Amino acid sequence: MRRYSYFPGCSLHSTAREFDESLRAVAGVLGLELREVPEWACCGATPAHALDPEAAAVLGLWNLDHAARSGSEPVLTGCASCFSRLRAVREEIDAHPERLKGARERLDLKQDPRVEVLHIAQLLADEEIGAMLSAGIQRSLAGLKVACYYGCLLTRPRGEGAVDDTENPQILEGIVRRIGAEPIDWPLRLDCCGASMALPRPDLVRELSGRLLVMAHERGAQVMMVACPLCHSNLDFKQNQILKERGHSFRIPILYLTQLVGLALGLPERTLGLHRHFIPVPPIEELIARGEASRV
Amino acid sequence: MSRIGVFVCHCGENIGRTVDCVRVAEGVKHHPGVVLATDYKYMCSDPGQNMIRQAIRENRLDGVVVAACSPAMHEPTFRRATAAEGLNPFRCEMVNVREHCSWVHEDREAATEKAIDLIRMMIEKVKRNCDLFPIKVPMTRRALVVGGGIAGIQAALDLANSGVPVVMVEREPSIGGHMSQLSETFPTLDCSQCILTPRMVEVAQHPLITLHTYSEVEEVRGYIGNFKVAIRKKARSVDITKCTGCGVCMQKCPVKKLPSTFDAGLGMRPAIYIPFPQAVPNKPVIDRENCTYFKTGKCGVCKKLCGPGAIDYEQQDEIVTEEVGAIVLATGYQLYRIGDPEPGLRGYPEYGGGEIKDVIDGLQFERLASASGPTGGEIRRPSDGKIPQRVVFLQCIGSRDSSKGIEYCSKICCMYTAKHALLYKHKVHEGEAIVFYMDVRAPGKGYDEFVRRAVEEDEVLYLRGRVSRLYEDKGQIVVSGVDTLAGRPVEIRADLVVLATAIRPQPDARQLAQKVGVGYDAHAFYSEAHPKLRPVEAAAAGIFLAGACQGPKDIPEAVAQASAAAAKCMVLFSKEILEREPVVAVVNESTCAGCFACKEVCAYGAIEPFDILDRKGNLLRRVARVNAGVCNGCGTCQATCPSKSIELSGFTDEQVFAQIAALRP
Repeated sequence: MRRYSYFPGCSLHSTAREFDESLRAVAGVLGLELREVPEWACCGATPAHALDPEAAAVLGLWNLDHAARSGSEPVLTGCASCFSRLRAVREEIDAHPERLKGARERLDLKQDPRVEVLHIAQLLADEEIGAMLSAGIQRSLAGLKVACYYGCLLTRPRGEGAVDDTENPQILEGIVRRIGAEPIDWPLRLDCCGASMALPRPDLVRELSGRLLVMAHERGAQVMMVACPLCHSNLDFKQNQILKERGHSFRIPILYLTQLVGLALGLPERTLGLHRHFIPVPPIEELIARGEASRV
Repeated sequence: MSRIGVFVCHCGENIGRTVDCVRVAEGVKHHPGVVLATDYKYMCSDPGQNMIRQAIRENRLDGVVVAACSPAMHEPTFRRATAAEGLNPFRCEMVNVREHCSWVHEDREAATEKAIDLIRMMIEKVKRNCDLFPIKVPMTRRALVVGGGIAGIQAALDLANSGVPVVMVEREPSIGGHMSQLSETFPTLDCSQCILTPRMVEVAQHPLITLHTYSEVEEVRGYIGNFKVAIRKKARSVDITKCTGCGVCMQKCPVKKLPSTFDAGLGMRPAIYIPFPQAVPNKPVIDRENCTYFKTGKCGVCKKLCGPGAIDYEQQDEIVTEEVGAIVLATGYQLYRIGDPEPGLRGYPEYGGGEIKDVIDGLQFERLASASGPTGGEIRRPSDGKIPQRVVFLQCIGSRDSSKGIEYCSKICCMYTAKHALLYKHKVHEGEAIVFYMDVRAPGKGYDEFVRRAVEEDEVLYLRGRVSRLYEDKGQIVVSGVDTLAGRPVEIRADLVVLATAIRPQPDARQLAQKVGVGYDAHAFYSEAHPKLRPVEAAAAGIFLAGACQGPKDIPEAVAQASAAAAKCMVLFSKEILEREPVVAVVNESTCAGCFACKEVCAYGAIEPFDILDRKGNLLRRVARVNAGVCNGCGTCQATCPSKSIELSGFTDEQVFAQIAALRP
């Protein structure tokens, strides 16, 4: 049994509950034991690291330290932003420990926490766990066309320990193939969704996310797969408004990667939180059949 | 007792800043054997050299120690000055207190002490120096030119026209190089073929030039003045003495659709082919990998139809050996590829990684614009043959981007991109040409004027910024980038995208360098002996560099460098006899046991057996002897000899141990 310190982050406890639910459900099937990091705090995402780098470092160190104190297991994240922040601080510990001096003093830390930081995509692409995943498949997704959407943070910071190459990542496509579905080739998989501009510049998000939705649809995607709660919020929550504005009648379900993997593993839709989306997710068999019908 | 003079140079501030030169001179003044020690701001200058000469004269010096820069820089200077006063030049030695001392230390006190120690060591060596005399070796007054592009052609013609016989080796079936692929040349827009092909013919017809095409350098042995070069003449499968170049074989060859290297993959050629109509020699070659006869043993159409019976399927590679006295390397360049990049470089998956048909490189655009190209000079895009209405040119692809593995500027792309945009506008008047650039670098005669002409007269739109992604959408290419002057993202739908990809050394540049014995930089561009003062010479004697094998270059620059390399060969050949430094190994034949351990380790094949005979001709002993013409003075034999019977002149054990002993407190 593999053990992990699980760091859900704020989104997975609130707006992205279904990411948390599906991640835990998939982990259960694959025999991964998750223990939530005790007393975890904000990962240090956008406001902190944009306005006060030291505050971001304090938060990152706090979280890694609490994970390290409860055991030496790797820290596992689902949210791409949490992953990116924790990994940035973890990298700083090795590369530029002097830059963390202030943060270390504020936390009164004697020792830097040297725990590994992982994203759930890395586990699902891992050889051993991947083999378990292949063996556990209960439901055929053959013929389901999936647009894998990386966004910006999943592959950053780049370098050793990164999820994949920044310019040409293939990890999500690999997972989609493993669970029997078909990743489509589409050019905007690394483009920006508008991210946290949803509040100050909603027009920008509508423009950027709109392009993604239209392109994915044009290239034949039946669902879009994401690994970031903020991407999900922009693409799912705002989708009706965006597509109505653009005069499109199609809608495209946005699934977290653990939801799609969960479906392949035969987990019930409700367990995976599919009912929590704004864009309803039709039964997968129906989606596949619809795709086949349109091709005839 | 020795009479040694010590001269400490400040090298402006280079040495003086860190080393207290006055104190150094003072510190060695009383060393045994020293009669004079002094310092001066620029010892290599005329007054500095005169100071040394005067000191030799007035103090009857028998040894000179110059503490200054590297001997690689000025040893010849100071030895010349010494010789001018009648002292054997090998009694003058340099101590490197710049690279080995002032440049690498910060502590003035310690650096000064170190300089004193280094000089004391050299004084002890010079005390034991002997008169040495240059070795005179005969020389082959003939040059090898490797590469038949414009640089090689220029060097070969200059040499041959001055009366030096030349051997030219070109690995492609024809000479001409990349220049023969170009349409028109900046900044004058004269036709590349029109100015090049007459020069190619001149090479072929010159009585003093021996041309080996479809050939490669296999091995180089020997040394300056006396190289032996083995050349592999690859099997052409065509007897070029019989072939008339009529072209029937090419017309009838059933394999027609192979990508033409000459057309940068945009045109097709048969399996038996002449790369382009103006090729020199104008004789075909069979591409054995793709020929049906060579693959299956069936076909033979070309052989059946060839009137003169020139087709020879049985032809084998042939090795010919040429003797030459100098070698000019003019092997040129290749272009960086955005898909499948060389090891150590990153490609551009964000630009489709070479998979998008209408994203082409500069050489491909040259072929599209060339009257002899696959489209007859009409700009038609590769995917569907349509005339593109909007073309986007991207500069610095690979170049100046350390994240892709290339930090240098490829130098010629600003100019050829301006030329491409301008040619496009001349051919497609209503078309739109847009260039993304980082900086426009056009410092050449008439160059900036040319770029301004593209902007002002031909209305090429220059946008400063990088492009983050290229992708196909509805038959067009979406160019998504940033205009950093306007400070906003831009997205352009283009019909054709031309990438100014980086200039790279040839894929096998390292292997050739190792065969010939020249140095190269981290990218495998060949290294010149001195970046300013010896720009066309390799560090290895007798080897010269021309053209883009040494670094990115445009045509005028490659031609100038080639002429310079030819001139350097002529300087070498201006003497009948070659003089070499006498720093070679010498065998003490009375103690040599004839074990030949030295022969085993000699990398240059300089050790030969020598039989000592009595008066009647009976063999007494067999000992080792050093061929002074071949010996490079590396000293490996000296270190290996179990009976200490080999010494390197000028670096004897006695001299070296005396240097070490001088360090003893």
